[in-house]
Amino acid sequence: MSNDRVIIIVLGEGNYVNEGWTAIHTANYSQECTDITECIHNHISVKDGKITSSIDYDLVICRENYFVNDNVNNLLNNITAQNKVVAIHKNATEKTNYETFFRQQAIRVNLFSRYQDGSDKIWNNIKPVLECIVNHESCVINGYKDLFDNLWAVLAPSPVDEAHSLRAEILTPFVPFHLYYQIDNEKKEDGWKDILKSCCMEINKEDNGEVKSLGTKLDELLKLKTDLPENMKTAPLKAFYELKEYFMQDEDECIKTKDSSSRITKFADCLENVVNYVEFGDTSECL
Amino acid sequence: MSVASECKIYENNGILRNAIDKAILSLNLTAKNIIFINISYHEDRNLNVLYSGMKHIMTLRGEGKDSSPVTFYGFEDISRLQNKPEASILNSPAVKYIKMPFEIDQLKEICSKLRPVNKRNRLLDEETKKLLTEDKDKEVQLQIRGFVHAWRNGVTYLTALLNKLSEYQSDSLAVQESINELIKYRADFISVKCASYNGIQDFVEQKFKRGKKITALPKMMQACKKSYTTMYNRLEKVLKGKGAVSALISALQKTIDNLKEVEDLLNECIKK
Repeated sequence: MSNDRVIIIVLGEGNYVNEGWTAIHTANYSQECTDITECIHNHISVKDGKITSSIDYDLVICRENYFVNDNVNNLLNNITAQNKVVAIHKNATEKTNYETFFRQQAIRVNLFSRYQDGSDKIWNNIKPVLECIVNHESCVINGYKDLFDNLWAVLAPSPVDEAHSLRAEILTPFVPFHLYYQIDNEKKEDGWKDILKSCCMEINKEDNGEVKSLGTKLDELLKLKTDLPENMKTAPLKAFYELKEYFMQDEDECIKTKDSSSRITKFADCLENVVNYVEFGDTSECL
Repeated sequence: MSVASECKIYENNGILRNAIDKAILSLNLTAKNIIFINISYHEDRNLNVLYSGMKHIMTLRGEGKDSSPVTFYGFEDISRLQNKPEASILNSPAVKYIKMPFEIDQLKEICSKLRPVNKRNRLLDEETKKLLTEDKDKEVQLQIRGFVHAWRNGVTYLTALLNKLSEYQSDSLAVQESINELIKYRADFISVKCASYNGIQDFVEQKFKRGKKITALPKMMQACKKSYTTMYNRLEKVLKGKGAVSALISALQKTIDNLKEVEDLLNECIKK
């Protein structure tokens, strides 16, 4: 197979255009399969917006109830593409098992819902791709490739985009402290205490379900590039855990000394180097 | 958006927004109308958020909605940021950038240099104006695709019901079920679709002007609305036991024919 990217979409059934697997199936196999429940086409391969039986495809659309047991393994074994990403409909009964399964294989799993009044970003990007497959001529206005790329960007953001987002999420709770230390005492009005307390809570937050701690986010950032030099990993980790230890104190204690201001700046510099390495391959060190 | 400091702050993180607000307040800036905005600020979670704050200002200025001076902030280094196409707005008049975490004095200095832009046509640099035009074009193209899709769905839904109605005897349970299903499509089912055409009409007529018939679309849509209204009135009569199913079927058929005529014309134009 020549494609280096393959998207696997696990879709529930639905009769009308765009709503689900049945629409895609009917678009191509309505003559062959009169009884959908006995249908043998459990997954459908697509290449450049057209349903294909070739081994060269860029998209696989699976029926939700097919996505069980060995079927998943067999499917994945047949995909030799370097980059794979999976989007599973939230109603799929087996989804949770497969999330773990895919993650173990370093395949990114995304969940989506087609029942959320237009607010699901993933479904909003899957819809036009499905529409394009069902009514191929509509691709003339907005090519399948563009639609595929948009969907790919949502399902598997580039490491660079992820690096920038993670850096911002990690540093943001420290910024209010950095500002507070610089303000003249007589101008430190009411309200700051609440802000700083919220920051302390954010900095010390533990992993909880889908909510990730700053430490976990930092680990994710440092893993975005497998060849990240060792010193580029250790320096931000050291800076972060020093800061975290400092901000484990009560917020009243945290605001007593301005020392952490320079530590925050240093930590930001370390992360700047990591992000630059992810984006440009720069190797400047965090001192 | 926060305005306690008389400046406008666009920041999605509530804690950071409050902190910046208080920090600005402490600066006693003479200019009160500066916009402070995170380069990643976003109003819509469907957007690509990395530089959506810059896009937000591009749109505000492009539409002439706000000419206030702008200070962007973010964690990226300015020298890196300037090389990205999305950052062209940084070259527009009365726009500055500061990297977080920043020195408050540095922020004060930057803000003191910002002057309002008096001429509306000078709100954006040339590169950003070009980007904005391209974006607008893409946006309208998506709207067209959305419109075509909604129209096709209308045809699909109604055709499926017509097939059911035509397949069985008028007093059968299947027909009653289909009629009940039909009532779920409200009286404005078609008029809503037609109304959405207004926003794209100019663009469609300009883009597909070679297919001259495209200008006939509004009139054809009127016919669709009219036949759908007739069909819906007959449906209500049938539900009250005062109308014949056969009359309903013929009105439904007429509506679908009209809808298909529009769909065919759209397909024809799109293919050209």
